[in-house]
Parts: sequence; C-alpha cells; structure tokens
Amino acid sequence: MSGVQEFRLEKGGRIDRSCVIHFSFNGRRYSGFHGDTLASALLANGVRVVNRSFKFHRPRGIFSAGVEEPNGLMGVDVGNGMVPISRATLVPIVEGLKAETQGCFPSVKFDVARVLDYTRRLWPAGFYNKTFTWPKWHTYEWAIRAMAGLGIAPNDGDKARYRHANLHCDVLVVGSGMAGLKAAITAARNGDDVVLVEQDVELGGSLLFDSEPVDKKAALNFLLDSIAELQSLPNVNFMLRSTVAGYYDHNVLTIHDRSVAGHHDGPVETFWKVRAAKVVLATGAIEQPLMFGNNDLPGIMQASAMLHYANRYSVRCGKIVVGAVNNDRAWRTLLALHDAGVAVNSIVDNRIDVDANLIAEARSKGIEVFEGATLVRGVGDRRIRGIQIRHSYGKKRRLACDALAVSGGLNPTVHLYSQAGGKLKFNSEKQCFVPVECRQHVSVCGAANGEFADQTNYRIAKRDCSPAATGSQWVDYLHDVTVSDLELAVRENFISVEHLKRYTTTGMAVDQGKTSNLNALSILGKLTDRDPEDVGTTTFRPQFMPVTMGAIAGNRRGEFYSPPRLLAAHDWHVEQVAEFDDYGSWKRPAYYGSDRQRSIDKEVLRVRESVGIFDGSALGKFEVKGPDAAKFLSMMYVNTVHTLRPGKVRYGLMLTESGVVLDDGVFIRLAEDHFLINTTSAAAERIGAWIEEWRQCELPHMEVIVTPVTSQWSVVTVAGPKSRDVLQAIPGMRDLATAEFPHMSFFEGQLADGTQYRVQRVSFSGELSYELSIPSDRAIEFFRLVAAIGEQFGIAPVGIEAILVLRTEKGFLHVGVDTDGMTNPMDVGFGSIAANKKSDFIGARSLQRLQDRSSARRQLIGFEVEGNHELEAGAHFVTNNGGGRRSEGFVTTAYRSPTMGKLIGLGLLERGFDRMGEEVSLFDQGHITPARVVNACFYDPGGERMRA
Amino acid sequence: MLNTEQCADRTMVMLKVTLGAAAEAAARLHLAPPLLRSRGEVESYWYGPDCWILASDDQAANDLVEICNDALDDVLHSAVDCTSALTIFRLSGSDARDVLASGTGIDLRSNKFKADSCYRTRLAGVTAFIVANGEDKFELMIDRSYAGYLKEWLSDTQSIVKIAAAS
Repeated sequence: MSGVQEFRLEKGGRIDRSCVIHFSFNGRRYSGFHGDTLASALLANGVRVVNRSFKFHRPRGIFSAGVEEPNGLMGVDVGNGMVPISRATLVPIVEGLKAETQGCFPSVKFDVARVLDYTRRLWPAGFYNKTFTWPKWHTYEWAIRAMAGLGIAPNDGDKARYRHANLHCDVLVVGSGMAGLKAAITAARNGDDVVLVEQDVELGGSLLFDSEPVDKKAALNFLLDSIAELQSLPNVNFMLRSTVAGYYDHNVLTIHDRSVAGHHDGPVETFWKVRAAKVVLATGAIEQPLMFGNNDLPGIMQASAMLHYANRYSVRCGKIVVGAVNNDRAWRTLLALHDAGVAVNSIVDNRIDVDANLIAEARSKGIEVFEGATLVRGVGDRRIRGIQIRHSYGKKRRLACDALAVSGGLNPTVHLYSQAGGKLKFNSEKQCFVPVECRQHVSVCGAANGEFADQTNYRIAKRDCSPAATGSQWVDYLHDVTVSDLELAVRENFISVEHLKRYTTTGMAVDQGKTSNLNALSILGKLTDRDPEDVGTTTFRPQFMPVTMGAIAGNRRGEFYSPPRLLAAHDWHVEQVAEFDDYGSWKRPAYYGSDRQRSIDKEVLRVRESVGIFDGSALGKFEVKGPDAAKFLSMMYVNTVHTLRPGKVRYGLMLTESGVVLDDGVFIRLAEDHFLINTTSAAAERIGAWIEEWRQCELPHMEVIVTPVTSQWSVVTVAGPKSRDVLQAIPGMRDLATAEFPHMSFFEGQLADGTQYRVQRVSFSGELSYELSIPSDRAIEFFRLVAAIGEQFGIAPVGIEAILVLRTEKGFLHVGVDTDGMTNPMDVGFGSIAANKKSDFIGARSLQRLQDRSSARRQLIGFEVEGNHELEAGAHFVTNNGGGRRSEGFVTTAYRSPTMGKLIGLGLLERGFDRMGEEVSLFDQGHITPARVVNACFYDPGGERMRA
Repeated sequence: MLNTEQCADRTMVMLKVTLGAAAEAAARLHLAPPLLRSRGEVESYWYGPDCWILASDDQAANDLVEICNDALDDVLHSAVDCTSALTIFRLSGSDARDVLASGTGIDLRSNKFKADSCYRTRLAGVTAFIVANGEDKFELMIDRSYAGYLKEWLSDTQSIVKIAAAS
C-alpha cells in the first residue's frame, strides 16, 4: 500500500485530514482524505497515467477537475458493483472504493495495443471505411469491435435502486457558483419556489478554489454568506450531486441525482423530471486545451484544474510546473497557483501583448516568462518531462517540467442552453460561442453567458493550432482525433461541421466534445477559410453527462416493468392452480394444472362433453346511450344495428377508415336508445379511445353518451352442453330454456339474494354457452358458487388456451391473430354483410377500392394436416409455380384439435375461398408439410349445438 | 412516513352527460366545478368536462343513480354504478407527496394542489384519479384491476423515498 501522499500540500484545502480513506486503483491500495475525489486522491498519490486512449491506447492522465474530463474514465465500484466510464473527477472517494482502468491489456502502464499508436499513420479517421474491405468488413469486424468501446458493462446484479420523480418549481437554477448563488438569492427573495442544482458534492462552483474576491468579499466568505441566506429561506431547495442531463421543450429538464448513490441502506439514484416556470443556467465555462505536438501527455492539465486541485484538495499536480497559455486570465490563474504553493517555473504565451503588469508580477515571483513563444511539442512518452518551445526569433528551447498547466481560454458551458433551442453566436473577442436568444423561458448568467472577463483583462489570442508543432496535435482526447484527421476530412470534402463530426468522430461519446469542439470548429474554419461563426456548431443533445441506464428505467423493471391487470377473481384462479400468462395487459389463466398440453386438451373436451367455467371478465364493455345510439353504432360497425331488437345480441366487426378489420365483439340492445357493446379484451382501452374520438371529433352532432363499464362487471362464462343446467340452478335465475331465451339473447335481472346480474347467451366455443355478468366485487363469490353448483355436472375451470382451441375448431375469428394490418371484411367472409349494409360505416368507402375487392387477396380459410406433423402459426403457404418458392399466405392459427383428432388451423391464403379441397404445401421452419384447404369451420358447421 | 389504506365501503356512480348539458347538470345536482371535489352527503368529483363520480358512504349505488335520474329526467345522461370498477386508496403522511411525485408529473405542491383538488392523470404508468384530501392526505382512485400492482408500487416507492428522505 502506498501510504505517502507525496503530492499533497502540507496545509490548506477543503479535505478532512483526520479522516483517512483507503481505496484501490488497478488493484493497488492508496489512501486519500475525506473530501477528495478519486482524481484528486490519485494525483495526491502521484498516479499520472490513469487510462489509455480509445483508439491508439496512448497513456492519458487527469486533464480537468470537473464534468469535462476526457481521460479519467474508469470502472468504479463503491460496494454496489462496478460502474463503467465513471469520471474520476466527479467520484468522491469512500472507504473500500475500487477503481480500475478498462480497455487496456495487460495494464495501464504497459498496453500492448499501443502498437496502434506507433503505426497510427495506417489508421487515420474513417480507416475502417477504406480498409478492411477485402474480402469483407465482417472478417475484421469482431477484432475491431473487441478493441472499441470505453468500458465494460457489468454482468453482476445491480445492487442500486432507481427512482423516477417529478418536481415543479418557479425557478430552477443550474449551477451554484457565484452567478448561480446570486440568481437563486434574487429569485428566493422574490418569493419564488427555487431549486438550486449542483453536480458537485458541495455548493460553490469555482468559489471553492478561485480566491478572486466577489463583491469586495473574499470568495469563501461570499459563498458562506450566500449559503446561509439561502438556507434561511423556506422556499429554496438544494440538490447536490445532481446533474441536469437534458433540457426539453416546455421547460422540462431531467436531473440525474446521485446524492444517495452510496447510501448504507442501499444506493438509490433518482432521475428527476422537472417542470420549471423559469430556468437560470449558471453552468460556468470550460477551459480549453492548447494545440501543440503531443499535447495529450499525462501531466498536461487545465491551468484552472491545477488551481482547483491545489486550493480545494491541497494537491500539487507537479513538482516542476510550467504554464502555457494564450490569455491574460490564465496568467492570473497561474499566479494564484504559484501563491497556493505550487511553484510555477515559467509561463509560455504565444502573444506579444500580454499585460505588462502580469509579466512584472510573474517575474517578481521568480517565474520565467516567454512572451511570443510558440509551443512546439510536449516531450515525454508516458508522462510529460518537458516542452519544446520556439522563441519569436525562431530559436527552439526545451523547458523541463513534470506538469504543464495549459489554457486555451474559456468556453461557456452552453450545452443545456442549446438543447433548449437557444441560439449561439461566436464572440471573436473572447474566441468562444455565447448565448444569444432562446424561445424558452431561460436566462443564462455568469461565465456561461461569457461574463468571465472583459476585453481589457482577457485578451485571448486567436484560436489556432501550433504552426511549429512536431508530432500529432490532439484535438479530441476522448476519441483520439488529431489535427491531421481534420485536415484529411476537409481534403475529402467533409467541410460541414456535422459531416466533420461524423467522419472524424470528434466531439462524440461521453464527453460530447466539452474540451474538443471549439478547437475543432476553429481549425475547420481555418482550413476552409471561414470564421467559426460561419462554421457553426453541431447540435447539442441530451444527455449532457452520461446517465446510468438504471436511472433512466427507474423502478419500471421486474414486476413493475409492465403494470399487470388482475382479474377480480384472480385469487379464485390461484386456488384452482391456474397457470397465468400475459394476454394484453392482463394476467389471465392460460390453463389449469401442471401439464400444459394435457390440461388444455382436457379442458377442451370438458366443454365439448359436459361443462366448463371460464373467466371472461377482461372483455371490453361499454354502454352507449342516447337517441342517436343506434345511428352512432351503425357508423362503428360493419353490421346493421337498427334492426336489432331490445334484448337481442348481434356479432359486429369494426373497421378502420382504411377498411381494415380493427376489432370484433357482440353488441346488445338494452333498450331502444341504450346499447351494451363488447370489445376484445386486449383492445378494450384502445377501442374505448377510438369510439370516444369518433364521438367527440367526427360525430359530435350525435346525441350519444359512451360509458366504460369493463371493470364494473365480471363475467362468468359457462360453456358446454350442461351449462344451462348449471346456471339454472342459481337461485333466482330466470328461465333459460331456449324457447324463452334463445341463442343471441340478453337479460338483466336480480338474483334471489338481490344481486344485479346480466346474462347473454352467446358462444365463442360453439357449444351452448352463457356469459353471466355480476358486479366485480362479488366475482370470487360467484365463481365459487357456480363451481359448487356445477360440481354435480362435472364442471371444471377452463383457461384461455382451451378457449382458443375451441374457437379455432368452430372457425371463429380472432382479430389480431387471424387478421393483420391489411385484412378487410371480405377477406374473412363478411363481404356480403358489408355489401348489403345500406347505411354508411367507418371504412365503407375504402372497401370500394379495386384492390380491396380483388378476388386474388389473401382470404381466411381452414386447413387440415394428416399425420403427426407439428406446425406453428406463421408457417407459409408456398408454391413453386412461376419458378422459385413463393409465399401465398401464412398460417394464423394451428392446433392439434383434441375434438377432431388432427392438426387443424386457419390461415390467410391467396384466393383461399376458391381453393376448397386443394392440396397445398406449408413451409415451417425448414420443413414442407402437406395440407388440405377446407372451410374455416371444422366443428358443428350448422351451429346446432350452440343453439340447442 | 406513509400510511396506505384501501377503502372498501364507498359506493360510486359515474355520471356522464353531453358536453352541452354539463353546466345544466352541474347546476341541478350541485356538482363539483372543474378539477375539484365537492363535499356533502353525496360527494362529487369532477372527472372530466362531461363526467363526474358521485360517491357516498351511506347510500346505495341505486339510490345515487336515482338521484341523477330524478334531477336529469329531461336531460340525456348516463348514470352507472362504478363501485366495483374503482379501487380507492387513501394515503397520508409526510412521505405521501414524495411517493406520488415518483409516479406522476402533476404539480403536487401544496399551494397548487390544494385540498379538494383532483386530477385525472397517470400514476406509475396507469390511469389514476388523484384527490387532495388535505395537507399530506390524498385519495387515489384507480381501476380495480391495477389495485394489486399499485399497492406493491406504493410500498416499493415508499421504501426508496424513505432512504432519499433520510439522507
């Protein structure tokens, strides 16, 4: 274990030196202090190489101290499983933390894949589009894919819990630096509900390390006073370790909250959706790198990051520090760094008009100054050991160092503003993009608005690559993009910024170009002789920072992934040893017992021979009432409605405007102006919305009211030759004899115990069948009652799978199974009903099209297969006519019928109605099975049994 | 802290009228104005521009239907028993608001979602009717088929909220 933090300054910082924390990096143990981030602790321990680059496996070190970090990405485990591509600069260390570099072999110190770096002339931007084409790309794809990627997705179970949450506020302030605090205080004093979001573990932003006074107060005093005032106000909420990830229309923002990600009762990450009346973006600015050869060596860091590490974490990032900058502001940063105890040996600036006072101050501190000097290259292999510069008079010189503080000026963090739809403008004086205007209610303040300096104290040089550079100049550290890659792209005419991004991949991946975009745009501008303003920017998209997949999913996983609907009699089915399955959103009994096929066959035969009890409660039910009810339903159904008498039931088919079969079910006339309609179970909500849409939007002149009653009524379906005997035995049940109550009749009454009930004599099985509806509160009671009464008749529960076999034997349509997005009523045998209907209905006009009336369409037929063949729905009817195998349609339903003793099915077959008796071939999973086309109704074609 | 109670003994009737008759129906039956619940022997919840839920702890559903039929004898309306269709949960406690905010996007701030306010919205992925019963007290009405799911969801969410609140 390395116990000596040799790069820790003796005093200062916001760390708690009394609280030593142990952690490991690549298996080696280190120590840090409470308050450290993983990056600061690694730097304190002298760890310089923390990662290998994405493409060339070059050694890389910590570059920044914040969200923009392009290099310090690693797998981090705080005891809850390894989270890949975590930014070391944002992870507070905790006891036992394990960090490891991912994507290098055998170690981060020596990575064999660096051979790619030594041969990188062979792998320019887009190399994979130009090479590896012989014999084909896929020959090499596996190897390239294996080397690509930034991290390794964990395989082990996730111990973290995730939550979605919603929040409303008057003002959302993003960022808690000087500008954010001032904005929050102003809004809070105004009485607004304020939420202040900070991605760091504490409030303050740059106030935590930048000692420049604010409003004539010391920075830390300003911070403490501001926090005290905000905490005293009841209308301010703070969110720490929370990153605003996305900014959407209507001022909706998403926040990834990791404030309890290390909680001892189990980590929780929250993904907030915030709706704010006003948003204030105080997101600060990001210091940009400078362009010169080997500008990616470990030890090269932002000047502001070095000051951050020194003042906040009491870490010196090197023993021999040199500054290389292009603006006056960075001089002040370097001088502050010097004052903080990190001696700066020299400062190199390519400008010749540096503020004389700054030069004088630097020299007074013993800092050597190189004005007008050009950076040539960084010297070193696995870490920086010096830099080579070229004086203005042409002579080159080498300066030794083990850390180089660079500053290419600041660029406002405008990602969220841009996501909100905000327009950006290039400010040539500040050499950066600043916000201009936005359609949303958002303000930008502080450094994020370019207010980090004025021209008199900033004076940045024009953004450019080094004219004297030797070696590659790295533009995008994360994606290993160099200036020569940009030059190549321009040579190949990828001169649009969007094309450049995609061709070179600059600005992609998890850092979204926070330290590369501006330089890339400037270089593109120079190469194409355009101003950065004309080059423009690529589109900023959510997420601003990576968000864990778990946080995006929230707790909508496992049992909460898809809310299950349970039948009112669910517990009764459990008692009956039902095996449940998902049917639409419902969990319904598929069959009863342990052996699936045996149970289903037994249940089918039970209904055919005696009686079965089935839960039909999921059936959609709507009451339609009003003087125009019949007229309205006549529009909804292909079938004629107005001739139906009260107390009678009719089967109906609904179509879309395109004439495609949408749904089916029976409709019942309760009274002259009152109907009850049934829809299929899975489509009940969708059809309810469809009917309402027509009522409200297309037929608002009709006097009609539609009321959903699906859940109010539970349906006990009793089917089989003995079903009448069972139901008749319920005390108070009306006379169910056919003469009194024939097939397709309805009755509403009261049982002996006062229970309101509805009974309709309809059949989906082809047997005598009744659907008894009772209020759902009493469902379990009634299932028990009917089962007890039916015991003497041999009643047993029947699941959906058996019902589906029964309806197939009878040839009854199952919309959505036997129909697809093209099936019209003529295709399923309802042509004459549609043709004979005198009034208009939805889809009627579409059925007039020649294509819809063509006899060559796929039509619903039955088929039989002799022998022991097995067949799945989806098998194709194939023909060899015309050369080659061609599909003529497909099987929609196939079962081995226990009643018929053979394999039967339904299918959509070209010209099917004209092909009765024809032998056809079915192609199923590589096998050809012979079958014979028959009428779709296999069982009791005359319907005597259900009318009995 | 969150207390969840499932309320069983309450009869409910869904009253629907045509949009043009909504004002007349509201006046005759003293129904709740938009986005509110009216108190009384028979409570009414504004369920939509042309729809209310009438609820009572004492009266049978048929009686509520009769009240509607009597008052609206010359107005097209539909009053149907929905006692069995809806399940009512009553939530109370300091965590109630946070638990609900985990599942719905509506503004639950106490100065916006005041007592007797009610919204028909989505909660935890299902359609729900949320009523403010008072400070940190809420009533949820959901389709009975989702009752088991929602109960589990409330319990799971509460345990997460508890951790977040304790930090």
